[in-house]
Amino acid sequence: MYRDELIKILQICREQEDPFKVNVVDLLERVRKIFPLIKTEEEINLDLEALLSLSDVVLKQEDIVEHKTSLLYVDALLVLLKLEKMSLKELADSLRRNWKPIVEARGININFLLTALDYWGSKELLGKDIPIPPEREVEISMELSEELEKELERIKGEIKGEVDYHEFIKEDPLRRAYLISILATRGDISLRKDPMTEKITILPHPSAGEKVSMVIEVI
Amino acid sequence: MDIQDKIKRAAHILMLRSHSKPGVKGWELRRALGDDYIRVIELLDKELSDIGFKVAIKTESGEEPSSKDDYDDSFFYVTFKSPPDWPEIRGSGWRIDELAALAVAISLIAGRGGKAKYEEILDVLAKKIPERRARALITRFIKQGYISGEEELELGWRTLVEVDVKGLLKAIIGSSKQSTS
Repeated sequence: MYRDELIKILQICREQEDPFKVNVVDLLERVRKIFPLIKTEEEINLDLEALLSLSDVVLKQEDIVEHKTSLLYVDALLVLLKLEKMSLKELADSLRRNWKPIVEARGININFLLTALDYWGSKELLGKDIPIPPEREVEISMELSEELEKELERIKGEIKGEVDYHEFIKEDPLRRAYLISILATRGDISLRKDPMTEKITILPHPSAGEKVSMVIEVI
Repeated sequence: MDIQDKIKRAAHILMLRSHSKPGVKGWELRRALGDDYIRVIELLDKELSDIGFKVAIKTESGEEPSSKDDYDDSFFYVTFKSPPDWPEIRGSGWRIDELAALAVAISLIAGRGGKAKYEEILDVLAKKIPERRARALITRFIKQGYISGEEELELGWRTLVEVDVKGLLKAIIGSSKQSTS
């Protein structure tokens, strides 16, 4: 007779995510009133389960209150608002004042050699494809090309035909010279130096000839 | 091995990284230094103190070991004794925007009770630095062990060792109070 009502109380206790939305006092009062009237063994079991579920809800409420009153609790929205207002310098200094970095010296060991392999095995540096195990490939591509790739594409797009090297880089000499050197190393473009005038020209295609290293004075 | 040799050995083990991540477990130190390894570490800690370093000991969950039994399973690290100055930070390759981004990620996760969505951290960072750079930095922090996870991010082992998270949150709130008043 009271089976359905007890199951309903159980469902409320188990399914409600916010324990403060469960009216524990009302439900306990209901369970107390039902108890003298129940007759079957199943109803007694359900009554016991309902009582235990209600005590679980109270425990959850207690945990939340305890956390919110502890020093560890900080209102997330408040933190978010403060973070948005702070400058990069203020943020960095807040971390610096609470930061004690790990100190370590690196000698040559197997991990060091694997990192070196990552570096020298990268396509960007050698301009040729060295077989790399797939799990390492992801690491390398994130490390070396994620930020540069778009910038390289943009610079490459600017080289429509043959252009004078120094004219091309004069807007931002160091940065553009750096990008050109990567494109040339990868074989996306090539550079030609006139032996008589020493004039350097950027060509929008790779060179068919032998690759040689070239030292260029930028500034 | 006399005690001075043991201290030297302990310094080498702790400071020369031999695993993929820093830190040496207590049982490894016991194997290398003997049963009195905790005393050796205490003496090393005193010596390091003079040059501004200390030995930090943390359990897997980032707590201080509470009993003697905890030491064998705890991780031992050498860290700065007090926060580094700006010249030291710049010298180690960190930029201001990188440190700021790490402060944002750690504070948001800690402020959310230990977990925060990747997208939420990205949204806040993208208001301060270019989104592409924000994504790259989050990836870097995960790789370095400062944060962990994918869609939902948590504090990583390195943050638990290096950062006073409670102090950071206080600084964030305190600093903002000054700037808004």
